[in-house]
Amino acid sequence: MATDRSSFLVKQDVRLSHCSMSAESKEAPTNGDSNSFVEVYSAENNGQQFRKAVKVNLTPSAIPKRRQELLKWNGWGYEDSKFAVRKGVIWFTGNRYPIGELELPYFTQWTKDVFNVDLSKPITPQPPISKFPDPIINTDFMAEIRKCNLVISDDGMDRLFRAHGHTLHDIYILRVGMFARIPDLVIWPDSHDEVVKIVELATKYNVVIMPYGGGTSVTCANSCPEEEKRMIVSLDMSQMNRILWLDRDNLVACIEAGIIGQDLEKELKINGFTTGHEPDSHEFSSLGGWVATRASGMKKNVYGNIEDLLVHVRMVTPTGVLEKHTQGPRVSIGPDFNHVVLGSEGTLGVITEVVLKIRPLPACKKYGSIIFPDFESGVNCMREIAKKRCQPASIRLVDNEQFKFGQALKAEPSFFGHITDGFKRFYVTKMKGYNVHKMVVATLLFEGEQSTVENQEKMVYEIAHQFGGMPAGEVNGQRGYTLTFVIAYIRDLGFDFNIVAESFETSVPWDRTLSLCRNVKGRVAAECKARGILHYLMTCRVTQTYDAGSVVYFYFAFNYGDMPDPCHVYEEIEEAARNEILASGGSLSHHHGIGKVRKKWYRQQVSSQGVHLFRAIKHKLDPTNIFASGNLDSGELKAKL
Amino acid sequence: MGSNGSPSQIAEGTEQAEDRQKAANAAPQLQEVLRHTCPSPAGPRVLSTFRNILDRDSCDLVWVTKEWRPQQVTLHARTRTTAKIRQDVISSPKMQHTIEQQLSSQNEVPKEALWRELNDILIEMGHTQTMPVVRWFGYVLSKIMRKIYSGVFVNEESIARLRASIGNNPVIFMPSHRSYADFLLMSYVCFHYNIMLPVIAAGMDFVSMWGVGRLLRDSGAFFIRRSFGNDKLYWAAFSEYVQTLITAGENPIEFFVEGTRSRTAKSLCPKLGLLSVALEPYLTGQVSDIVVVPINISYDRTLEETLYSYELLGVPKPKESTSGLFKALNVLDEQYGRIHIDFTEPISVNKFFGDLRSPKLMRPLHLPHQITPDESTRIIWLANYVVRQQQKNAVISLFSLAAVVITHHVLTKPRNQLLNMHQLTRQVASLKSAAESFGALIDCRDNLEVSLQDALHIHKSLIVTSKDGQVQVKNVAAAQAPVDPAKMKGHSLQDKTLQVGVPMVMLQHYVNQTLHLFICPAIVSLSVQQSINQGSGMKANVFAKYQFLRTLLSHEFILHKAWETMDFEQSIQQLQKLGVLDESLHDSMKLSLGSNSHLQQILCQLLLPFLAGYSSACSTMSEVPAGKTVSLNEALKSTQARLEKLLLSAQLNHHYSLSLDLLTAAVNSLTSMGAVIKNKENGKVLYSPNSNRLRQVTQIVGDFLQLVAPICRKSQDEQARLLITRAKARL
Repeated sequence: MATDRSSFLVKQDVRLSHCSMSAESKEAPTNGDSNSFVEVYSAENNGQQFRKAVKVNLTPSAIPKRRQELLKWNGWGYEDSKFAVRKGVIWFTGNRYPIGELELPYFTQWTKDVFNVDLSKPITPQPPISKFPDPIINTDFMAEIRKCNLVISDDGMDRLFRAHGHTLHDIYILRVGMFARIPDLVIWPDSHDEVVKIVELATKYNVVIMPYGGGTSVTCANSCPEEEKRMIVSLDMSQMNRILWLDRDNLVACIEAGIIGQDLEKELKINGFTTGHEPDSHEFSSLGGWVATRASGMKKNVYGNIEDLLVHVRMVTPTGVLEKHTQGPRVSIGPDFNHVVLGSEGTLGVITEVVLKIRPLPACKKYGSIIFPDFESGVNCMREIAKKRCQPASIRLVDNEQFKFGQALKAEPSFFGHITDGFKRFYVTKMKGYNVHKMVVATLLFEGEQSTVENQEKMVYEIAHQFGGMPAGEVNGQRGYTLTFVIAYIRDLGFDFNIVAESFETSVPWDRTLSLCRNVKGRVAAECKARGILHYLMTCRVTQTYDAGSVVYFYFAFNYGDMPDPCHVYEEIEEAARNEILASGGSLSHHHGIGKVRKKWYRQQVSSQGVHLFRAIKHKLDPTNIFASGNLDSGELKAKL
Repeated sequence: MGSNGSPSQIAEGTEQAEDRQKAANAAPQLQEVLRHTCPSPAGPRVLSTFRNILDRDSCDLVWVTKEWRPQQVTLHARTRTTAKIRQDVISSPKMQHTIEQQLSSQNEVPKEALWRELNDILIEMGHTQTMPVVRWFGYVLSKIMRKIYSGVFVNEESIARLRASIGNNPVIFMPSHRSYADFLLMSYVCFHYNIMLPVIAAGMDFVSMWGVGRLLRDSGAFFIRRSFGNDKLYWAAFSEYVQTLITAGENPIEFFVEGTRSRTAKSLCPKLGLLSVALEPYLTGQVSDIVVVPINISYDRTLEETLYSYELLGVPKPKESTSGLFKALNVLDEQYGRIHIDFTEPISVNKFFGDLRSPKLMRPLHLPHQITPDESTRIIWLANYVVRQQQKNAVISLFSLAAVVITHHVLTKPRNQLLNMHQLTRQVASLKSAAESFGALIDCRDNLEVSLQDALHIHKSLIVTSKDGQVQVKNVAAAQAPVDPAKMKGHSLQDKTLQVGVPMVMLQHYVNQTLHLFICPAIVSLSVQQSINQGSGMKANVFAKYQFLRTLLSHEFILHKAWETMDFEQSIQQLQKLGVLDESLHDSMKLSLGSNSHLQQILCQLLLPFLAGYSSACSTMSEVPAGKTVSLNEALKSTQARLEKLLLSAQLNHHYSLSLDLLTAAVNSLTSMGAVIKNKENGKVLYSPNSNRLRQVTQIVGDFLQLVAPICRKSQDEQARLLITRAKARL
């Protein structure tokens, strides 16, 4: 079989290129490097042959080893991109995003209206940290590592950068304090084999390994357990970013797990393909991270979630490499151990290589939007669309608060105005009877063949009509999606003005979607009231649809005034909100994962037997707890089910 | 519909000792929850926070036509028309499932017929709240209330508290239920304070009253049949109707947790059916919380006092009819004093229940919710807590205290020794301070003497004070139209029994208004006395007796098992402070009587009619031959006959023992104590004695009765002479 497969490989067409996304370079991706491939047949210990295409000259990842040179050390995203205040008006810096270099007068007003923000009194975060916790060094391990010719660093900033993700708690600490525990050493492995070597040594010398991908976790999954006394090595996977091979006939590609979303798509695009996997973090998050957290992409309706895309995966564990020795498109071979790897959150091993499904680039891509008189009719429409299974690649329904927020982010008055744009506003509110304070909008993204898209559009708009929906144009739809990446930057602005913010999500059966949204909003309102929080934003969107239910995504932000520990207050409220979600029939997580922030509910979701099973796996694969991130399992089992 | 979750079964469950046991087990944990969630209001309640809402700046016409911008119950509330609500019920997945999947296929009834029936049920049930009707009705009510009441006093502090706790979650108002007037009062108060008007669950009896049914419907009442046993379609329609009101959160829902008007003025044991249905959206996670607001409505004088008195004795109540209502309009010539309304601390069900929703596996919403034992325990607890909150927030009229004193006097003093105003005032004063130490708020705005005279004046049709200051009970039962014996609900009582019985039961109505204050101290002091008589006095021994009496009377008073120990300790402390029990603690494990024997006597005496009635019920049941059964009605009749004999022969002198409510509670109590066995035969409920256990109970009850039987016995004839017989018939 192995020899047959070789014929499927098209060597010449596979071009891998990297452009460095430094702040200055705004050129089109350089694909002229014409990297050639050297075919390597390596005999694995199990005797099977794998075809490898290895790049000769290693081009750097879009993310450099010293991440802090490109990215903020204490906030989201690129150093050069952020919301800032100039002469009392908020604007967005840099040219990376569509709203770059634009003044945002409506958004400025919005922050005052919603949060009672005084833009003249910013809070300055602490300057870049220069004093770091002393590293715990396992000298035997270090001696062996130095022999291996690996790229390593014990620089304080390098270590600190890998001690956190982007949970509110993480960023808050970076602005005002210091973590109690950070990794003691950073290693950048370059290949699966190097990872195998490192894990072997770590196991031998009892050193903890914490895999690090894009660092975009919002579950405190990257945090080092404070009580860990052993040396902690952060395994930065960013240099393992090659597409090892690409198979046009079977539409799969073998990719190293450290590749980040934007690099992966860029590479595939050159070859006319896409994975279609587009989580909101995909500028920075990595393939390995997606697998480890059971990620979900915006366009899952067409392409599927990560578990649908994943064909084969290799995970290096302290007791060996876990992988299936088959690439059948679907198999009937006992429990599927891919699902042990999926969602393991770094607790069992390091994911090194993944074979993913790929698709030809779509011929047609089209945006759209629909306004509804209220959230309920919007949800009912979504349910009907899901029932008919005619969802476009993406369909999202945002509530009224988020709708207004989206409008506020415009630089110039447009469709709905601010809402000053006479005729259109008049048409929508007066002629059609929509209430500006109740109406909601669904944004749509169609992808596929021209005819498929046209059919889909027709069906969707027809259904929408039955539920009182009215098409509101492509531009509004497109804005919704392009703003996705910008929204993540807002929290840093909030920090400057006494506002803490975070998002959380769930999946829920259809018949409970509406009541869940209501209940969680109500609960958060009650919790705010109880704490005297007057200025807050609690908004939700139905962000995905399934046959059996939907995904709801919440944003919650509040002005904490002079509270001493706003982060803790936030956590208390989110905990109450999560209890409400569970009580309202929602799940613990749809795609963010468990990490450490949701551990306390893990057993309740999977049963005590589930926890036992997970522990049995952990014990067999990692008996000495080398992968001691402490995610998922809280370690407690007061059996009380 | 699953039979498991049916509240009728839960209601039965309350009678089961095991449930009480369960409640007791959960008690400490719940106690904790309660302490956490229901902080006692700051400071003692005072009359000064009550404001008379009839006393307002604007004239009634301006008041009823004010702009209507009420405070919303929930943010997401949508205003639905009656037709829309009906449509929502019909199209709900639950109704679809019930009709399409269950009823139609099981009973082979055509679906169309079921849908038609459902539509009819909903039309019969539905409320049609319309503001113009509410306004006009409000106008008329204002006029009537001004005429018959000297004031409707609302605790404005409690209104502020209520306002602060609504806006997020569905709200349930649970007022106490003593009079038909309750229906209208709540809406009237809400209108006055700009709170969204409640939608009120009412019994079907009103619908047949021409005009009145319509009027109540338009004011926001919806109607539920009194009994619908196994009618699954009705059950589904009714629960879906209630639940759509809860989840939509447009209006507060109002219902009476006691289920019906209490004829006795004592709180009735809470019914759990409607409450369970209303809480289901919370238990199944459709709403995040429900706010329950117990409300106390205290009347100086109950409109239906005479009617109730006859009814309790078994003289049939006239069927509700519009002409009957007009006849009753002669009530408009009388004065009924003040009404006090207090919205008690709103209860967050979520906090009260300690959020027990989360760990369950969710079922689709169209399937009936199976109430778990845990939930059931908490619902029972909540219902009892609601009633207790109602009681705690009562405003006690001085007349009620006077009624205690007068009754005590009539029962214990020789006939030639009449009660004069001085004695009455003095005794009321001491009783008042005792009541206050039990936490009562007494309506005494002036100095006691003046206030008491005012209070007596309101009740001049029952109590008269002669010029020389003698206080006497009037015979209100004279010249009663002959009652058809066939229509008597109980035993055909003799005329002379009714002559004394009716006014005494009426008087007891006002005694009963105070009993929630005195019941635990009374039980404790009787237990202490009994224990000492038997040569013990040890606390544990007293507690065992207390426990017995408490169990015995648990269908009569709100004595939830979970509060048993707490109430005991509290009562002992209070009684010691009052000198009823000896305060000098030589031995903390031993109790002895104190110097205040008069109060002790009064307290114990309060138990007399109950113990006498229960004792006779025991005798009746023990006379049922082995292997034979009796219906409840038969049992009541022969117990009443037995009691009448005792009354005639002066072996008993308290006519309230004849009360059918009391005797029914006695049979239920004996049943849950295992002394009587309840059987269902062909759908009929029949009772038979459980000889050994019944003999035991009879003996113990008899012993207690001996203790409280009055020192000075009077025959019924003698008693009759105590009454003045000038009064006109008023029924």
